[in-house]
Amino acid sequence: MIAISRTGRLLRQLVRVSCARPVLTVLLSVLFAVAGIAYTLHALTFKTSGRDVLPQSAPYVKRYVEYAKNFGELEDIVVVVEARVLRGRQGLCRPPRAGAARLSRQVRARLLPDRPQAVRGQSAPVPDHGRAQGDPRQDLRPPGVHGELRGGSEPGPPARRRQYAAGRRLRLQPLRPRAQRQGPARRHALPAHAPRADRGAPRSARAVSIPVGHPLFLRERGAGRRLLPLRGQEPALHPGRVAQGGQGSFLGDQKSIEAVRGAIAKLRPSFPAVRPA
Amino acid sequence: MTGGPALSNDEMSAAFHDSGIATALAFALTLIVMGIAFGRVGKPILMLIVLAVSIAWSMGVVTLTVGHLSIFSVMFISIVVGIGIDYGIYFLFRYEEEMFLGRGLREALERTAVRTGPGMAIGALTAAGTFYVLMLTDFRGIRSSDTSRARRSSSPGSA
Repeated sequence: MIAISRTGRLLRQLVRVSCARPVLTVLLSVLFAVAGIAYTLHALTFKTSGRDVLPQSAPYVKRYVEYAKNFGELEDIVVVVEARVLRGRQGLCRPPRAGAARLSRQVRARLLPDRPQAVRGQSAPVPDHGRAQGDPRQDLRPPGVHGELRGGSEPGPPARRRQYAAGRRLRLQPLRPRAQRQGPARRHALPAHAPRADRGAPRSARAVSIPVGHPLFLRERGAGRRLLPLRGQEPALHPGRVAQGGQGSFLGDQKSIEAVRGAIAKLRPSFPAVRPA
Repeated sequence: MTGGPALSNDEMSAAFHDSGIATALAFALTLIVMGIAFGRVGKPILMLIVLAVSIAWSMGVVTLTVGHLSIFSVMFISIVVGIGIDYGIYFLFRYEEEMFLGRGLREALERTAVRTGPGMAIGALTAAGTFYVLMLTDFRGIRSSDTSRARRSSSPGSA
């Protein structure tokens, strides 16, 4: 009862002070409210990932995080552009190619200024065969990502793998045992023994370690369907251009996601025949 | 454009957008109910303005202490509209009662503060305590959303 009566007396004093200076009371209240809103708009962030709300110490979350590091494509951003095939002498689709290069440049320009590591990766040339059939969106899923996916020189891969190979044209190295892993940097860089495939290395040496990241893809539509991953700057289409979030993942990276969206929106008027899916 | 991060981002954007609509609806429905209950609109509008001010304070405190909203806690504003208006209703009814007994404005406010204030403060603290208990859960989504609600319930503006 004593505490209650003390609280009552305290509140009565508060009312008296407020009633003595009503304008000041209202002004202070509104000032604090405006400051609170301004600070909220400035500093409040959003955790968009479902993983963020799970208990981080739980074994199943730890296991998921561990697998997510190995299977980077669980956290990919995939951009698919649909366009009619305009096949030239080099067998390349002109609007998607130009769109690919520009989109890649736009994404880099928007992501790179404050985070030089935002767009990176390795690539290998796309041979002019290996058309994928069926729904290309299904082809984006990498069935052999944890194993080894052979290119054209390998004897007949299964149909599903062939579809994927048409899109990625990457030859993946099998996962190394945990003891051989060397930390996160390993996944983002070519292994020292692997030559750069986009510099015309012999096909037998065209082994590219899959980077944990976010490939951008083009999809051609015409006589056949083919997935053409986006590649910037180089004159030909290459797969495996990887956009990488600043913290190793785009998950929760709202700024980067909006940057990619902005780049796509900016390109849209220039390529009316190309349709982002 | 698709992929896990893009979908998560879209989910959050949709939840935030829906939260805005839910908050506006909560304010509108509260105003209608109080308008019907009190038979006038002036005082209910004033109460909602006071509530909005206290929610703005709380948002600042939540940003300062928690710093982020998740897909669970993004809906907390619309929830605290319902919780926070309770205290205003208690206060307003008691104030009306004192005025009906023929007291002056200042005296009615003081008596309301002395008689109803402690009960309201205890109610706010118990509500905040209940939300704080949920911070013991491992699930971080519940923990952060209940921290936000607890901070709102225990903030000075609520009383």
